[in-house]
Amino acid sequence: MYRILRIARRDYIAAVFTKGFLIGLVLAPILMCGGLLAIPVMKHVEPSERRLLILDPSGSLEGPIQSAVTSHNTPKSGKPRTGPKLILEFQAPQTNALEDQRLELADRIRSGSLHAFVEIAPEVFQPAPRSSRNSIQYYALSSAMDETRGWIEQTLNDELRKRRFIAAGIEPEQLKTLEAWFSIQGMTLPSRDRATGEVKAARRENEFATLGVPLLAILAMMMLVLMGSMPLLQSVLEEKSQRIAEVLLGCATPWEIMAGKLLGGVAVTLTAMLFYGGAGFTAMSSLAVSGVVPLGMIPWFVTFSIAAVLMYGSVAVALGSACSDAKDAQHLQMPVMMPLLLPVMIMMPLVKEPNSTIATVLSLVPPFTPLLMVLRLGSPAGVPTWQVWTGLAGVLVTTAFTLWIAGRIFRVGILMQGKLPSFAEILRWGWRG
Amino acid sequence: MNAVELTHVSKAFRDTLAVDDLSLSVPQGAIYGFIGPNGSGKTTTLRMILHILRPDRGSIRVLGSELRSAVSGRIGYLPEERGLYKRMRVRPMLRFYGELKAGRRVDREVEQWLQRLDLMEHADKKIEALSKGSAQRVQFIAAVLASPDLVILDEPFSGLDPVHADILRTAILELRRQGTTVILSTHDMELAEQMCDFIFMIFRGRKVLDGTLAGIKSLYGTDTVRVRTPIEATVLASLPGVESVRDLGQRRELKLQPGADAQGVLQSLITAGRVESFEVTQPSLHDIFVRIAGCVAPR
Repeated sequence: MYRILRIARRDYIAAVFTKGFLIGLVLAPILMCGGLLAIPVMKHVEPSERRLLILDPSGSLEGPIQSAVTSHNTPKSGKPRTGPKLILEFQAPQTNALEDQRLELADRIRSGSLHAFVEIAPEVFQPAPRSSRNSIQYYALSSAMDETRGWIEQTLNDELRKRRFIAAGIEPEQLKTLEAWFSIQGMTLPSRDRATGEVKAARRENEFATLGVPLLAILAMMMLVLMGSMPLLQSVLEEKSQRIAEVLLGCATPWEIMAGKLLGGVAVTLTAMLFYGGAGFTAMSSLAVSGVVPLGMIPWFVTFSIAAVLMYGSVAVALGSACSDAKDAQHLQMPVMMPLLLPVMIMMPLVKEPNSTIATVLSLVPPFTPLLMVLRLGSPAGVPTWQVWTGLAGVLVTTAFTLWIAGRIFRVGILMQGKLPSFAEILRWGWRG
Repeated sequence: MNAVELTHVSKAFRDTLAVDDLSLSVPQGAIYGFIGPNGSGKTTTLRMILHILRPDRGSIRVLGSELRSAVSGRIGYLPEERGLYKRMRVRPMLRFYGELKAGRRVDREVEQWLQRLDLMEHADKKIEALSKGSAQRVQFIAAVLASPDLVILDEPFSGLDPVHADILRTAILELRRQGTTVILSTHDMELAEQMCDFIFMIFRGRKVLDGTLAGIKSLYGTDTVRVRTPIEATVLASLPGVESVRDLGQRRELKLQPGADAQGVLQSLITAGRVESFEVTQPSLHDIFVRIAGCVAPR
């Protein structure tokens, strides 16, 4: 045990007390959440003004739309404007030279003097029951994802509906009450405490709790497991290629070396977990959303993280021992990471239906269990207790089996030099020892 | 009592027989020289003694017992290629290896050995910042820190300048004086002649020499002549009674044909040119090595 702890301590110090780890600790979540952070940043980078031209066949839209634009451009009670400032131009469509007019406006868009133009068909003002839904067209460099298109669609339809109501004899003042819209509030289930008989009232379901917590949980676990397990492949490769392994094997058994390395990996993960856990709770407390994290999932999160580091880490150690250089390691890294990446790839449908058959079955398949079980545990719907324990049992059995096989591969591979063995050969080492 | 005993040991890797039916005994407290060409099975034998590899056949007893594991503070190992963590500093790395071997703290021993091998000024440097010779001395300390009863040194003098080679030589001889058995694997035949009590040579997986230096040399008789002469080596090789010539620069070593008379060779030499010195001697270990590795069987 002394040797295992000594190897674990060396590996832990070598991994944690480096600039790379400290930078990675900060950079990893930034890169992982980069997409989310990039959106507000990119909004600031976008041009602050957009010029929009409307081809209005009626000549009557300029007043009301211009007033909507003025309202959009004016910040309301301290709140900043959403999206860029809009500047409108109006033209009448040249019905006998419409194609030329479109080409000319398209050239203006390409030159940057115009953001987009909107072409409104005349039937929009007096729609028939079978009028085309595509009677208003929006032309821009990237019209499909353009948020200004959504804004002008809403504004035009508001104005056109208002006109139709007035034509039908309904006063504009009545519109607000006639158009009143009620959204349906999602609620949790009320329950009665069996011991005290006290009724726990249903609560409003929080979107962050429903989607954000499980997604953050699975991403955090993937990052933590990667930090603890993947460097083991490189570490074993370094020891093998620099002939350190030969000296180590004179000091400790292959099993002790592997156990020490895995323990070091677990310690790295726990260190990062403490760091992120502390930072996360501080951030959530300051945003007053710490209550949405189900505290009951934390012990499971820690347990499944440790099991995952042991499971994936032992595979990384075994494959690292089979490599002779960094190129080999690159080839073998992907198969180790696949079981970690797959749950992240399919997490969106599963987070919406955390207790669907597919989510249940996949979360009980041991290589996917740690990540998917944590995803399900993070959702307000919860997971039946028997499933969590069954998942954990499966993971523990698989981890023990993986450790056994990996230990045998490590013992053979660590002294092998030359070309990268095939997967069949590696498995044969694991089977025969 | 023998420190190491191998009995009919064989080891194959796929279709290659690395060690073939090898038996040898390493007496306790001796310096035992392992020699042999590259790829002859030396490292495989050393790894089997360390139990890093298991033999396919035969038995190995180390320090009086069947070895179950290399993990013993009683055995120290210095591999041929450096096995040091490049980014670690010298002192913590030595403590790491020493504690793994000894199973306890070895701070005092580390300081003593650093002092003894003239490494104090490098103690806080990273391994990657050391010269090859300094790294070699660090590796040696790692092998002997736990005060082992058996030390296996594979090319310990590689990369050392004469000053540090002398320091290391003294340290090895001191280990022997304290009763430590030393297995010294080397390609330096002169060093093996100077330091080893016993010489063992392995060639193509089989033992071809095993015994004291005097015993081995006596097998070959006095069939060698060392001369100092300006006569061309090609001329020397064509003299009657000369089988082959080894040009050492300032001297030439002539191997005589079986039954050839050294006096007759001397007369031929004087006829051919000037002779500055002439010595009839036993072949050197180097010569014996070359004869065997060159497939020239000993008499």
